[in-house]
Amino acid sequence: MSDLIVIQPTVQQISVTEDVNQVVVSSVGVQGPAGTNGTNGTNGTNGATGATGATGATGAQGIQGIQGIQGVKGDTGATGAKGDTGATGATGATGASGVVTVNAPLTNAGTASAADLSVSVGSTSAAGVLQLTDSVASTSTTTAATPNAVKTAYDLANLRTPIIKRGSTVYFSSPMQGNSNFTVGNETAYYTPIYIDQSTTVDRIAVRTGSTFSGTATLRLGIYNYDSATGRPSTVLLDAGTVSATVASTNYQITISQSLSTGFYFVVVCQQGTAPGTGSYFANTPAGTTNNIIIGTTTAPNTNTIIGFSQTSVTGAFATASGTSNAQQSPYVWLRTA
Amino acid sequence: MVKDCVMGKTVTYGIGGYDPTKPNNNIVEEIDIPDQETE
Repeated sequence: MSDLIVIQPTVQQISVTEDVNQVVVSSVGVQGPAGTNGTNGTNGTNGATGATGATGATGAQGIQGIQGIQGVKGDTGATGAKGDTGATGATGATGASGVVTVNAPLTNAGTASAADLSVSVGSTSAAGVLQLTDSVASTSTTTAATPNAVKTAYDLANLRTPIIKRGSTVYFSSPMQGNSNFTVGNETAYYTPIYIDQSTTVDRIAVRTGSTFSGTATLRLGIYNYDSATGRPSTVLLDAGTVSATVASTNYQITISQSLSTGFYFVVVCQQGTAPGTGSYFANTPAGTTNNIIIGTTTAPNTNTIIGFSQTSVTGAFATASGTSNAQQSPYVWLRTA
Repeated sequence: MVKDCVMGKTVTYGIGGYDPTKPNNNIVEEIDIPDQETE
């Protein structure tokens, strides 16, 4: 055991317990200075929006409003009732007598002061009232046709068919009596007249070789317009091209698409280029036995009958006809409707 | 007048007629026609 006790300065307390062989002296230092503040922590995440609160209780009744503005002034009152009728006036003086003047087609069966008017019946020389009629056979000159009668006549006119049809497809050709092998002049165009009775479209133009035909022939086919002043072919309506004929008794035709209105036309055929061995074609019988009834003549029919027209020295494509002569024999040609 | 029957034929060219630049010279149809009467 030490007999020295060292007391450190600033000892504030010494405690001794019983039966303790040792005394421990300890000291407590002076409290140090306060430490530096720590760094602020990171802000926390915003919390979720809270649930909507319950509806509050109804508020107390408001204060009574202010008194309203005074109303608009009322409308003016209704008009008063009409007054009583006045007394009847005195009778006036008598007027002058009336005069009626009438002009045709009005007539007056009465007098100028007591008229009895009517309308005169019309005629081809005077205006007037006309009776309507549905008749399409009447010859009356004092009745008038109804639109119904006009339509009936129109429909009948549309049905006119000078060409007697023998099937759904119609062939237009010239009148022909008998037939024979006709040896044509090379490079001579033969124009055969036809009449188209109503507007139509033709899809074939054709010619037929004769039974004695031999060799190879170039045949040009076409349609010419009719010159009403001369009764002869005029300008070219269609040059259909050529066929190469090589076989006897054969129809040679070209596909076309030509619209034709009502009237006369000429179908033309011309053997061109090198003449074949025998350039014979199916044709009418020779002069004197066939007369084309649609060609008017200036003299009574005799041995100088004609079947159509011809023109020499025609080469290549067709051109306006000129210098045509009467033809008493011509190859049989035809058009077929579409 | 003597009538007898012969076999005929129809040769049809297309639009424009004979054309050596087209197949078969532009012949589009050839058909036989029986019972052609001649005198």
